[in-house]
Amino acid sequence: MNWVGIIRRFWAFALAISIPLIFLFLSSFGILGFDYLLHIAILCGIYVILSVSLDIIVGMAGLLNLGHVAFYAIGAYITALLSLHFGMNFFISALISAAASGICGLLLGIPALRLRGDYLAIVTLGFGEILRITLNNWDSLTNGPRGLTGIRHPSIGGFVIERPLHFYYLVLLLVAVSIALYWRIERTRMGRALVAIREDEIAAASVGIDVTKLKLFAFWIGASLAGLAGSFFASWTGFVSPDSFTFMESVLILCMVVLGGMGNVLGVCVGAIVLSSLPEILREFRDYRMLFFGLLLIVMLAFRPEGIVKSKRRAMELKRG
Amino acid sequence: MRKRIFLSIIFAALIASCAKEERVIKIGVAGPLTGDQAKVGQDMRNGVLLAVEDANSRGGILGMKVKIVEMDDRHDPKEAVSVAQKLVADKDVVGVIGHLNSGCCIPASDVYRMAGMAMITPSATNPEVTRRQLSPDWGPKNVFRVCLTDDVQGELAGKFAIERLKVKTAAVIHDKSAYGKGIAMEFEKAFRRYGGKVLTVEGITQGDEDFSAVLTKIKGMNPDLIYFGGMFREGGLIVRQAKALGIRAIYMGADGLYTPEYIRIGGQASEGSIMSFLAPPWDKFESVRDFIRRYNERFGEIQTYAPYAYDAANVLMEAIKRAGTTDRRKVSEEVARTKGFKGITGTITFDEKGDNVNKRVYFYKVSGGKFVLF
Amino acid sequence: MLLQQLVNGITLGGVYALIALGYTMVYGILEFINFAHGEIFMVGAYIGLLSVGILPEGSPPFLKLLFCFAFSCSLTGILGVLVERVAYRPLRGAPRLAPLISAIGVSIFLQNVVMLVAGSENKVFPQLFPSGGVRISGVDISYIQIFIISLSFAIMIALHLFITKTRIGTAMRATAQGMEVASLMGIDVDRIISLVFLIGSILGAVAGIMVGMYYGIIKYTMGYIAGLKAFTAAVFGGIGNMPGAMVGGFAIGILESLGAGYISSDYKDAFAFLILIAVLILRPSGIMGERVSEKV
Repeated sequence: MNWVGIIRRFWAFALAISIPLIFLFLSSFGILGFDYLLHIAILCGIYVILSVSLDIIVGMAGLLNLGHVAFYAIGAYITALLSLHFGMNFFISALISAAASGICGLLLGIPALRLRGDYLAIVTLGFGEILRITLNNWDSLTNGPRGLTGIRHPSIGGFVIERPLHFYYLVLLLVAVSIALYWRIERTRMGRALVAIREDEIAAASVGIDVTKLKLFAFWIGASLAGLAGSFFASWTGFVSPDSFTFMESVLILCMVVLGGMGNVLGVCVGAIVLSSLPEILREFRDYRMLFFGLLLIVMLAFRPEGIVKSKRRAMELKRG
Repeated sequence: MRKRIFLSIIFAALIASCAKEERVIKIGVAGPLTGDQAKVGQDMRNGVLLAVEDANSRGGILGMKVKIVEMDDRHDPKEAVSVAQKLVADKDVVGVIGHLNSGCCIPASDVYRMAGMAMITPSATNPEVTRRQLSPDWGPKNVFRVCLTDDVQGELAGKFAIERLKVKTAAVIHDKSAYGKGIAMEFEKAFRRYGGKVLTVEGITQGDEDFSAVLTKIKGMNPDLIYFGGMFREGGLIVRQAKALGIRAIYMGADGLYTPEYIRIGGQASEGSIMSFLAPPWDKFESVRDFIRRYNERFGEIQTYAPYAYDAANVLMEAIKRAGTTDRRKVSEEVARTKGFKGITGTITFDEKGDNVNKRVYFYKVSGGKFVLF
Repeated sequence: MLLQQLVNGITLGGVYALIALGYTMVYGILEFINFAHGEIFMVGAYIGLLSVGILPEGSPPFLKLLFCFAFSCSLTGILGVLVERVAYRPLRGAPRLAPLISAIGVSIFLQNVVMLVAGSENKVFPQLFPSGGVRISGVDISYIQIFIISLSFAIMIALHLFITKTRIGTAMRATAQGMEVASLMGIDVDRIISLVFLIGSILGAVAGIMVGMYYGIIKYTMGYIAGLKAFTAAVFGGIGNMPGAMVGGFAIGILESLGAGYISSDYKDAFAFLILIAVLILRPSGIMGERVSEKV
């Protein structure tokens, strides 16, 4: 493993996230509170993790997952319940939540991954919605639409992470972990095999790649990472409700991946940061946000399906013919 | 040389943006300004707006102009938390009028608590909203309400159904929100205590359109009364579909139905339905008449809570005056000390829970497309 | 109670069937799930609402009804054709996922355009149909329900005749069987595809108006869930198979009503999704479809 390369890249990313922060701070001198900017930055961080996790499934493996928000939700709710019923600390519940989401990814993948692309998409969508409806109606467990309040903030020993700045550092750490994980997969044989599957499944199978196993693997990792994001989300806001986990959230994350560049981690990060910070900055245009996203999807797919940050290989794959 | 000029311009711009804008006192208004309950949320906002404008026309508070910061929570608890965080981050916001829904007040109040900011709700009736602050690790009180609570409303509704409507059996439906389920359960408890029989309790999902499955089930049970805990959209749809299915039971609800929107959505079917509300008819209410006239001229028809929002805003502004400062915690302390405040909706005094001690309930019936006292 | 639930189910089923036909026709030819079709249904309802405001107040309700359908069907039909030309045609050769994502984009776009133009609150649909109904052996059937069920059947029969008995209908079937061969035989494939979108959108608009009249309110989000349930119906009956879509529509409508009545009304939407997943995994060709093998 190229340690130097990795450390260098980590600092590049930390800087990359801090720069927009500083810029925003300067340009809105004291009008928006610094805390609020950190709030936006933390939100960006969560969406970066979610986009990276979806990109493993959609970008690397080429599987269209329209129910990704379900894994996010599972992570969030499990952390919430562990905190409320057992007072469990975030750092432990995060691991459990990620594991649980991962298992759900596997459970979904096993029957679903046999299906063709568009059918798979619909099944994942159905899964996401069934989960949301269940969360909304299983009153005794989840408190239904009223949600769960009072989730504990993360703590290490006696130190409680409460201030926005500390949450920012924590999410930065998790972002680094996600990206490192992504790179790790990408550079190994597994990663290359996934790309092979994405480009031509039958050809890949014919050279001996275990297609099903690898697809399941992508699903598992993507789901686990999303669960981790969910766990952080629950501990940060202290409140979860089914309304945070709608199909539109899945679409939003998909937009970030498509916009940034499917299969390209740097691009996906850019997509996530842009699409999650823009609505907060342009609050007056809030009503137009989804309209813009819809248009974005249409236009991007028609003219530049490989995303903002180019990858020549992707461009070739996705263009017509 | 060019570099110097360039730098000076930047420097000047920075200095200029540092320049103090005129200080204002900001009051946050949080509620569903868009979506299903938009009409009622805007109604609340308009009430606060009138109060603030009145205050400004008298010279403002503590020599400063008052501005409202309106935030849309779309009656979604998660949005409410986000809205609360934004309001808390704005240093000029001294207090919040809102939220409209109990389900939003509850999670949002946690955020306000940590900032020590007062939240006065004109309309959330679930007892839990203020009861939470009785717990020892809450800290100083910061949640208040000028309306009544559902333990009173539901209780009196149950009594009314038995004694005045003289029904024996009831089916209870709620929308699973904090408010809807809360009041439905209070009604159910009271109805049974006064001797009635509750045949079933059913939950429906806010946002759904088709309730024929639940209603068909209830039709088979043939209750004398259907009680609905929830808001006007679902309330209107349910009464419509119930009548279409030939259900003859009396349809009853709470303050969530007390809005012209309910009659519009329910249409012909809403005739004869009964609901409870905390104020006598607006035109019987001397102190409110002037406000209603002004409101109608400017915004059109009053929905439900505008007068309460007006009073809540005035309570807050009075408290700011008494505290003599815009410090959130001090203002919140003063709000807690509100006693005998003469509002247009009546006298307001907060008890040790933050609830208004003034609790009256009136019952209305929809007749000829309007609300009339039963 | 069972009969009542059945009546409710058949009414819903008629609506789902009309929308499902739109999905199935498009899929039959293009092998593409038109994700935005649910939004076409929603737009149809809104344009219907708009049309009612156009006619003078005192017009007879029958005229208003007729105009409402005519106006909405034409405009919505055109919208459907436009969407195909603008968003889907450019992607015709691209891998399957591209038009699917684009369709999601169209869906979001349409939803939000309507929200911005018409407002986000619930809109009340005027009472064009007399309320009240008949009572047969304890079951209450409203006049609107009778109207919906009969109109759905009439349209489906007409469509079936059109597809099987006319030249254009034959051309459509031929295109569905194989686009390249059909064009070699002299069929203008592009035109046929536009026609398919036109018909599908008209059906969607009819369904939208019926729903508007039935529930009395419409909202810009109504297309999403209805669309997914109709899609479930189409898949259930065998995607690409038109009689299958009709059967599937009624099946889903009845299953949903019975499930909601006897098992749990809370989870009634979840039932539709469960059926969808089950069918896709266990029998992707649906009840009436032939076994389709993966093209190598």
